[in-house]
Amino acid sequence: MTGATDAGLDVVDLTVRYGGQVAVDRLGLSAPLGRLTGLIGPNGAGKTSTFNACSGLLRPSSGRIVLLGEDVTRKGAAARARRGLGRTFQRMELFTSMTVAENVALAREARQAGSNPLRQQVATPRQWAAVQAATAEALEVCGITGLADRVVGALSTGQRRLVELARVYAGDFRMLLLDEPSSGLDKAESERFGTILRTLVSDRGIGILLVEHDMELVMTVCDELYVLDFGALIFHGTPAETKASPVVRAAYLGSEAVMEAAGLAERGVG
Amino acid sequence: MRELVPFVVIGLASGSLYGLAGLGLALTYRTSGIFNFAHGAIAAAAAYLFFTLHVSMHWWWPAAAVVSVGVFGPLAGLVMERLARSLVAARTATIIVATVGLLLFIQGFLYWHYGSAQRSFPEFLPTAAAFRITGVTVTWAQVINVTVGVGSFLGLYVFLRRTRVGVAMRAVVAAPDLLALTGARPARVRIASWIVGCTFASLTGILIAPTLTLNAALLSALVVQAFGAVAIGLFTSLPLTYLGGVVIGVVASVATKYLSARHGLSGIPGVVPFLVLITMMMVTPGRKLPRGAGRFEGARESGRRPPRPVLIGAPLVAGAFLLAVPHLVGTRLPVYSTALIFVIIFLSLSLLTRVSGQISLAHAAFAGVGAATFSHFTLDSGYPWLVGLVATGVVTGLVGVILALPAIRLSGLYLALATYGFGLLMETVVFQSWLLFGSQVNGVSARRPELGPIHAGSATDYYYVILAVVSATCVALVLLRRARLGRFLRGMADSPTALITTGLGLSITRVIVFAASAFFAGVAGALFISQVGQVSPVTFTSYSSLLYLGALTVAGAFSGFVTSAFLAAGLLVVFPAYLSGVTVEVQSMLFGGTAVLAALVSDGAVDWKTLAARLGARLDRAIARTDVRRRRSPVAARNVAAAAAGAER
Ligand SMILES: Nc1ncnc2c1ncn2[C@@H]1O[C@H](COP(=O)(O)OP(=O)(O)OP(=O)(O)O)[C@@H](O)[C@H]1O
Ligand SMILES: [Mg+2]
Repeated sequence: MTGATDAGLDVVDLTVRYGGQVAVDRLGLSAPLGRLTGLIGPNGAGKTSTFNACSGLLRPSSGRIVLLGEDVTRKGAAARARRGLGRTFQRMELFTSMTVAENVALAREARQAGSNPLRQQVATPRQWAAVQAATAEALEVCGITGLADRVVGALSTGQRRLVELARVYAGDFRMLLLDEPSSGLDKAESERFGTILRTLVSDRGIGILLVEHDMELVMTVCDELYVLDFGALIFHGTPAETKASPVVRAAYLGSEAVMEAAGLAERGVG
Repeated sequence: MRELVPFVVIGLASGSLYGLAGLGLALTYRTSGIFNFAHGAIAAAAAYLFFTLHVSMHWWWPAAAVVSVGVFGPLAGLVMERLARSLVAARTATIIVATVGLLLFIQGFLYWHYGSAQRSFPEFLPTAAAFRITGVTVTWAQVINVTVGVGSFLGLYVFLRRTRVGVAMRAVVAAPDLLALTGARPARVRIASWIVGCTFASLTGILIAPTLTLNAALLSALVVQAFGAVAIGLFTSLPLTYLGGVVIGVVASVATKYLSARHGLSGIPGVVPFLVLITMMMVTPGRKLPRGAGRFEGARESGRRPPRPVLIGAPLVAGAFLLAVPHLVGTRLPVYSTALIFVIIFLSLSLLTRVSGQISLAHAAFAGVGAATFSHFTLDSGYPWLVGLVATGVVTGLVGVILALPAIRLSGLYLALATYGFGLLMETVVFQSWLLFGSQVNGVSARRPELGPIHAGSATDYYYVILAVVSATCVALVLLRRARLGRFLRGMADSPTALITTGLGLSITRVIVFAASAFFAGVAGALFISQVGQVSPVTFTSYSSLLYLGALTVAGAFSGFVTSAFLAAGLLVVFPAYLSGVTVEVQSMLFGGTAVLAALVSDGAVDWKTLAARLGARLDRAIARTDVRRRRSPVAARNVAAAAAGAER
């Protein structure tokens, strides 16, 4: 489907089980570079599990993960990150005792250091310069330069989301997995967030796979959507096609609020 | 085969009790998420209580048993539940420190009150022969031990199936997250399980004491058997835990038959539980181990730094004082020399626990390895002093790499348990080998340096040598902490996941930090043996490791990385030299009690000020009610200490 040039992340036949429970069921999807791909579905659909399998935090029962054309199924999480896969977390994973600037810088430093014992201890001057530049740029793009010296533990949820985004930005990843990055943001912050995401994709040509419950945001920023329900892919298409799909509507029955936000409910689902 | 029977009988009798202790531990861990390192100490306290009532006060033994099991057990359970409840939201490391602190406190109290001498504990159960199997006499005491073990297990089984609280408890043991969904009131379930758990511990304590001779350390170490049993049950399964205890008992007992006679291996039977513990920790996939309470994020140190004048001024003043010490303290100089050596130990421990958030309960073992290795290098191999010092550091660093292996796989509680097992293994087996201290009681010796003008015999000269090494260590570790590695370590304490998913090879980081920490602890061990001339393995036991952790926690509650190391060394070494009443037992109580307190309040969730304010408010309310004269927070603080101390009563 995707050519080798813009191959971002391809998930092939992925199955994730927790004990007997199937959380992700033979899922296939591809999120190319230079595009914003959405992954949506009701609570417990298996979105986070998919992310964990993609980023290497969880061993899938079967299936393959292909990153930038390379099969990384057997690689560890850090190795995948070094190959260009970055992610954020639904339950944010931040260095809460450190400042915003340190948080953002550490992502780049971690990538530079990798598994090299010497490089883990000290940075070369050149690396350090790169870290400084990347940090400044990431803070700027995410609009949190003013917070640079604040300790993360003292920030609001919205601000923390931006720090997490700035961190993956500074990490210079080619492919980003964002897990509900706008939850906890107010409307204005959310819109700003959408703009940042679009800029990332168009200016830097990176690929984004976005999990999001804010349907308005999803519908406006995504180029393409995948819809999961009970771990299985039930629909794949453009936001407009998704809105119109009866299958998707049926899956979302019971989450009317979400439907309304997406402008689906008034078409007579209830 | 026949000659094995007596060993199997003894093993079954003790194993049944290990299983009982394990059941209590597993039950409380699963329902509260708090792993109680003081479980064995509670057993010890019950045994001592029984001893007092039965032997000193001449109570009829069933009455003494009822009080020390039926009254003391539930009371201890209530106190533990209260403590556990305050801890659930704390960091994993804090929770570990809190229950280790409780262990120190109880054990210190028992030593202080009863003396550290071993006492023979009366065999109060009838020792007459009950019956004979293949010619082996089985005593009534053994029959009763097994019966009580099996009976308690079955009783628990029925309780978990037949009563409402029991059914809720079982659901929680299987899946702690579901506690809120079971419909039972969570508090009742937790209280019930702590009461059962602590009662089981007390029962184990009084039944096992006759076979061990009464000694607080031995009894507290009982918890290790329970650890092993719980590990076999993978921290979840109660039947497997009980079975695990029985297996450990039998294997240890049978091992006695085959190994005790052979030279150098006599320590093995005693270490069966640690071996089981370490093995289980090493082979069980991390995801099979349940996650206890506690969050991983949130290292203690904030980003705030003291103002610049303090940052520059304080080391200058402190440095001037340290340089002047030999002229100020007279004959107490050795105390200060030793204290300086402990600064290195605390700095290296701090690097692991405070900076990178990995609790290691084997730190004294590194110092012990350092001391013994240095003796071999300088006396046996004839290395010059300085070369020996560095070589010792390197060797100990390599031992640190071994301990990093569990650290790569495990974190939080399970790492702490694995290191505890490692420390015990070192203490009981490896230290006794010719590689380290050998089997002589006196241990090994070493001399002070002869470096150019430095005179070997002079205490003052050697003080300055130590001071130089301490300064170098301070500089090295402060630089390390501020360099990239330091940032990674702090990040590791907050969120290992975030580091991994941004590309850091965290296993390498862990190996580096364990090696570095062990290196410096080894150097400290070498300095120590040069200072005191001769060191035996009992100087660096796993109990010392716990004591160090307690002291560092206490000091760390008030101060930063370097300051806390000096403060902890002062508390551990200098303080007792001036107050004759401050014995190791008192220190153990002090550090333990304060570590529990510090754990309760220093974790960001509650700080001293809010606690004082809250206590003040509560006190005010109480005062308003009872119309007593108004008092302020020093009293309140004492109240908390009393509450924490309540565990031992
Ligand atoms: N560690 C785990 N152990 C057992 N089951 C799990 C685990 N993590 C998730 N599950 C289950 O797997 C299913 C998928 O969960 P997942 O978190 O992937 O869903 P999600 O789509 O991200 O949901 P949400 O929108 O609520 O974030 C759910 O039924 C969940 O209960
Ligand atoms: Mg999710």
